[in-house]
Amino acid sequence: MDGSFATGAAVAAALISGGHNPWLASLTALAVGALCGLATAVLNRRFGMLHLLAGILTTIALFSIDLRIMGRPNVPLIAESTVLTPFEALGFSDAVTRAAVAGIAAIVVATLLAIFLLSERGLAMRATGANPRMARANGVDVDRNIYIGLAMSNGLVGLAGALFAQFAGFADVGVGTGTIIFGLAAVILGETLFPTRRIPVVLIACVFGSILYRLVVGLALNLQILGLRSSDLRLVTALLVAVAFVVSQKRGALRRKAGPAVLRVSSKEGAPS
Amino acid sequence: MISVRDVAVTFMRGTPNEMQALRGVTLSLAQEEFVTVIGSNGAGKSTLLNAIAGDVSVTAGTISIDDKDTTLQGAHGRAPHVARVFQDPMAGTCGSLSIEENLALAARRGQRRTMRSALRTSEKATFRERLAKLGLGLERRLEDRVGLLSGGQRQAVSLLMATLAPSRILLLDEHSAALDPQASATVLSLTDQFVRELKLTTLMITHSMRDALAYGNRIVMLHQGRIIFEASGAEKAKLQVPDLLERFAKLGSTAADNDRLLLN
Repeated sequence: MDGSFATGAAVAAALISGGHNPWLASLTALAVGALCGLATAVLNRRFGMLHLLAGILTTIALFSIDLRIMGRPNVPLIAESTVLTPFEALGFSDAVTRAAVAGIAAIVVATLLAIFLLSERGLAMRATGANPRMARANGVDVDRNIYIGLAMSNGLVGLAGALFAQFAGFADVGVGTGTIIFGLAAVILGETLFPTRRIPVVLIACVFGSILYRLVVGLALNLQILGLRSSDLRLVTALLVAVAFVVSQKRGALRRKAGPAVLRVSSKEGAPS
Repeated sequence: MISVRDVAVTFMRGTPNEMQALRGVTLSLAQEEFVTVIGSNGAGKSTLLNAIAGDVSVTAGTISIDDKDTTLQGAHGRAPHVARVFQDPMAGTCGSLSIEENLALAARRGQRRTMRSALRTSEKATFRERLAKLGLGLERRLEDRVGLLSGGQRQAVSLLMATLAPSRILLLDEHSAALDPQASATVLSLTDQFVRELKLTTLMITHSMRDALAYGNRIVMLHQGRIIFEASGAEKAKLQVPDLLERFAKLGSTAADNDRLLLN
């Protein structure tokens, strides 16, 4: 995750600063992200490496690859034409343009994801994650689903990295750090706010969870009373994730419903690979 | 027709922990035959079933379905022909998915999965109708998570899932053993009902000699990886629990000491 995000940013930045079309650059970032996911999947499924270790290994390798792609640790994109450029020409304020483009991207991706997850193939993938043995007994090719799932998720993370680089006006080898925690925070906050299992609502919950997370972190760091500095970012992040997790867990216990599925340690149905 | 020929399975081959779970088992099931398998712990019952399903790869011998050799196929490759219900109610269903999602997943066993919507209105009526047959009121809870159901209900849903798509063989791995006596009886009678109505070829493993005799038209006794006794038709109908106990007693202490088997 952290790796694919930075790699997506690096690929997009390198291509855009090399004079390529920003849309093409973003799609390439998506494809490269998908390849990173496949690398993790190969280590995990083909060679039987523990999934967490496989992910960490890919992430570490990608740091060096990012440096190779960019040729230096940081590539500025301020003067370049990005996916934002045509929208900026419409004459709205910077903030409105950015929010609108990010919003459109989120809606498009969430809609495509919802269609996929609600389809027969999507159901097979969800079953693969939740109970691989049952999925296999029902004719689901578990390995193939893990390959596709990791490619899809890392491809989307790569695209996110590409968009981030274009919004921020730079790509840096360090931009990916914390992406995985941010993603978890978004999912956990979303699940806490909208305790549902209906796929479209779950996706909306993730989007709102990620916005809320950014707002809370921004607020915490900017409130003078709290006396926090920007260097406290990671501490605030970690505390926020921990609190959201505990809250949803407690609520889960009260309602005899499962808490956030993403991070529970002892699942009776076996951890997803 | 399913045929298992001289199948041997050895776990941890070449290590000090080497274990021969099956030592040459030959068994064929004709269309619509309902075979019950009994044997003490470690007799190789589950291994036999897992070998047929493709979860365990065999060390020697062949397994074929309808004269097609499937020995080298994995579990998902054989899934179009093989339906199964596991012992653990958690294993056969997906707790985080709803009842209808579980059923939809199982209904597509053996077919290509497409980008079409997984839950179709036209199928819901069928699901409701089939769930109603379970007599557990689940037809009104289509959208409930399976994780909210009791073990017996989950196992009944597992059984229904296994029968939604056509199969050449239904494998039941002590599927009523983890349930309380009442739920166990319900699941077994549902099994018998489904097998008769849908004319399924079935292989059922059980620890209970009474159940092994009460259900099916053929009984197979496994011991230390070999078939040591078989009876079918009228011969099986005449068999009583004491007859089986006697056979186990002849095997010596290893089998007869098995409390779980005797108490059943």
